[in-house]
Amino acid sequence: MGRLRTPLVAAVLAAILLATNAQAAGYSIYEQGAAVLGMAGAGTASVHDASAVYFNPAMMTRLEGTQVYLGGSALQPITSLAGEGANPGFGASYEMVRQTFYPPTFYATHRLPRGLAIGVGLNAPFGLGTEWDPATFPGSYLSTKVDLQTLNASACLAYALNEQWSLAGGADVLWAKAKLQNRELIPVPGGGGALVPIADVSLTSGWKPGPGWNAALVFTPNAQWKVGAYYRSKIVVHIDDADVSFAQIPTGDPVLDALLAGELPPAQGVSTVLRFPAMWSVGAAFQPRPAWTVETDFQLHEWKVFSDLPLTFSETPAINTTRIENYGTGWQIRAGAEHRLPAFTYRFGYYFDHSPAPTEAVTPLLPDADRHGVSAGLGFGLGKDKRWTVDAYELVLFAVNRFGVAAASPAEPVEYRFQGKYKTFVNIAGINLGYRW
Amino acid sequence: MNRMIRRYAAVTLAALFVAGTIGSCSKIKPISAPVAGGGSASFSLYAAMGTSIGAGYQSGGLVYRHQLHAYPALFARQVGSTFTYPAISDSGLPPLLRLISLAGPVILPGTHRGAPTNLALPTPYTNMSVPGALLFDVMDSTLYAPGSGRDTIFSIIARRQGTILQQIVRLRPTFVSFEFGANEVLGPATRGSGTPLFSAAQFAGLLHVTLDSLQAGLPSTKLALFTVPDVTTIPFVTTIKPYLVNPADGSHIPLIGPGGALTESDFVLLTAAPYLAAGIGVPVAAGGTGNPLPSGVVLLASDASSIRSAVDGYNAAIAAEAAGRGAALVDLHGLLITAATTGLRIGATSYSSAFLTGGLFSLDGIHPTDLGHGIIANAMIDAVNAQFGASVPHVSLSDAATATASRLRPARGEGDARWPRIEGLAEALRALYPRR
Repeated sequence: MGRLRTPLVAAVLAAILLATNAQAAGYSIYEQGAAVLGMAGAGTASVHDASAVYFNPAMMTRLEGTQVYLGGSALQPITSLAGEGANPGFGASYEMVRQTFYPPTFYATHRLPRGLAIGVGLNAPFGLGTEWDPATFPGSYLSTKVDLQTLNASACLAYALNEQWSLAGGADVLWAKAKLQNRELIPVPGGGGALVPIADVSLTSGWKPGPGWNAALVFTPNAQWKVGAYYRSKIVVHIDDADVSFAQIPTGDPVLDALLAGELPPAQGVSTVLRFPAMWSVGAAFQPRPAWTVETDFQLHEWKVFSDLPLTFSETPAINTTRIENYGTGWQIRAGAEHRLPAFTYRFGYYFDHSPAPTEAVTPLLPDADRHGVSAGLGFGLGKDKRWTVDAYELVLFAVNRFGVAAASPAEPVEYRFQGKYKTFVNIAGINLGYRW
Repeated sequence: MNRMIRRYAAVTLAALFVAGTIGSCSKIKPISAPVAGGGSASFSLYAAMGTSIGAGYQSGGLVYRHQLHAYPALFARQVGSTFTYPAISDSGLPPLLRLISLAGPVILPGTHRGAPTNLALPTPYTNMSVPGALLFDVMDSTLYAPGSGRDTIFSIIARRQGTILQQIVRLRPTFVSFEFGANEVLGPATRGSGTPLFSAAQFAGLLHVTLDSLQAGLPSTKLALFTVPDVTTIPFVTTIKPYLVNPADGSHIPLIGPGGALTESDFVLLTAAPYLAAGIGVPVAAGGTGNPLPSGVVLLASDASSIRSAVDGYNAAIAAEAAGRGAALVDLHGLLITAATTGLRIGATSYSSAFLTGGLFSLDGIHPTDLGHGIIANAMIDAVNAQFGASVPHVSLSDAATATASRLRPARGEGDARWPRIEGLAEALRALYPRR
């Protein structure tokens, strides 16, 4: 038991400390287990480690004994924008500040008598991190930084009805916090229409929880086939404790600065609502030979829930805004294979991720696009009876160049909205360490 | 053999993957503006006929750095047409007004008089927009003559090489923009008169004859006609309220016009600022002299109404001519109404007709800023694209906008918090709109 407590505590601490942000379709992060991600995320029917808590809790009934699976990924998105139209105009491109994100994962499962199994997990299934240099980015009035972090705690119970069918259900609590920054600009007084920044606006919230639930099943008709499915409910987090500040930026003209000092809104509270979509997944795994597994999954993410992002200010209602997003449904097809050799296991896969974002929601805050992902992974068993496992993967994600139009307000004429084409590439690598008792 | 093929295939795939990955890592290349398509129009040579607006007149003068931002220059750039203009060196002709301090504010005339730099250009300028020009001047050079009060500006642009019309015809342009009518109402309005230089009927008749003559000389040339802005919405007219606000209770204290206390529907022109600073027009009870403002710096509500009626009549004639001749109609009038009422949103900024802070009007309160010209150019592009099935790309407004239409300096404690101090504006207007 003492041996269990140490990695558990370490995992929980790591998960809390590293809970972080990244971007996948919309703002979901599917990088939740190295073995499954080696197969490009196609694991709904074949996941065989404790990340089943996330990928299909019903599969927990097929895991032996007690298992833990701890690790994380490093995500490095590279995004740039080529301007078009009247705002910001053709002929220039801008690169997002490069960042690396480290979403952590920790899972533990335990087989109980009478076909029961339980599992818990800590992970960061959603997140978003974008940052543009406010000094050079012409869309700084829309966004200079977005930092959405989540931490999800799951507890699941699975039951094997028989050797063919298993069912599972569980509860989730998702904590979320957000930071949004942009700039306020005004025309240079007496100038030719150019803008001068007058304030950095920063909204910062604390961690706030939202409840959710999940259900899953797995069906094994014969030794070669498995069919799995899961559903994870939408989660709504009401942020009612955020603070917003308006830090004045000196313009170089003390008269103007003195005038503006009295015009900027005071620091105050702000509330908003963060919505995270329900997710469906169904997958079929086939073993053409005992050492091979191939799987294909189809997933739906109900991004329609991300209809808007309201901001309600406590002292200055005149600046209340609702950013319209009008996301649709996202879907993904994932296909992967695993070949288990005596010395190691290798995996590979491909997935296509259809963006749920309409053109009007493809913005510097979240330049979403269709993506193609190609993965490769390795797994090793170590120690006595190979109780230790190490899985690692590499996933490269090519987003299709995407045109987007961003409006700061619905009153803005279409031709003067911020528009351009975004290009994104994401390099992702991850590792998980597993142990089985 | 099969093993070799597999090995080469694997290496090739790996190389492709690495190349694709490296390529994907790179920053997206800037996108060039699409080449303008003319549709049923041709932009191989574009020429502009118009007023001070088209000339790029700003802050009380002409200077090359704003002439190059005038909407004809921007449109020519978008369609790839040669653009020539009567360049004036720093600091403009007349020297441009300068914003000295926002406290007050304080606006003073420039000190260095600019001069023409390309008078010897052998061909007419493609931008034949002339500050102060009337529709009458397009075909009649009488008022270009020395002693007319406008000979300086006409001698620079028309260069005694014939009328505006004759010079435009000589250029043989394939596309012409035509923007006249503002001065017929602006000249009187800036002197406090409600009597336009031409009645709507006179303007309509003259417009018809002028356009007939233009098309007789250039039968296959396509046209874009501009409507006339409502000059009672510009900051020159709207900035100074006809009343003072009583700090004690917020009530309004009417200023004194030539006929007594002004109503809240009357307008006090920007040229009234020196009088007000001297207490003229300000009631004794409010610390003034009690003497009335001169009539030339007040536009009474009835006069403003008369001006608006004339503008409406002019615009009806312009719209009818555009429809009858298959010309594009550029709604400059509507654009200024939007700026004066709801404001014009670009990004998160609402640009307006507010003086100094609105971003659209230069320091004379009459003429557009560089950004204003970008917006006008885009309105022209929209109208041309719609009328001729053309595909002219919009002007980038961030490129069009400039930070220093004037000099923005730190305050030096000058100025009176109550009234703007603007020197040189009346003189600039007299050069632009001499009494006829």
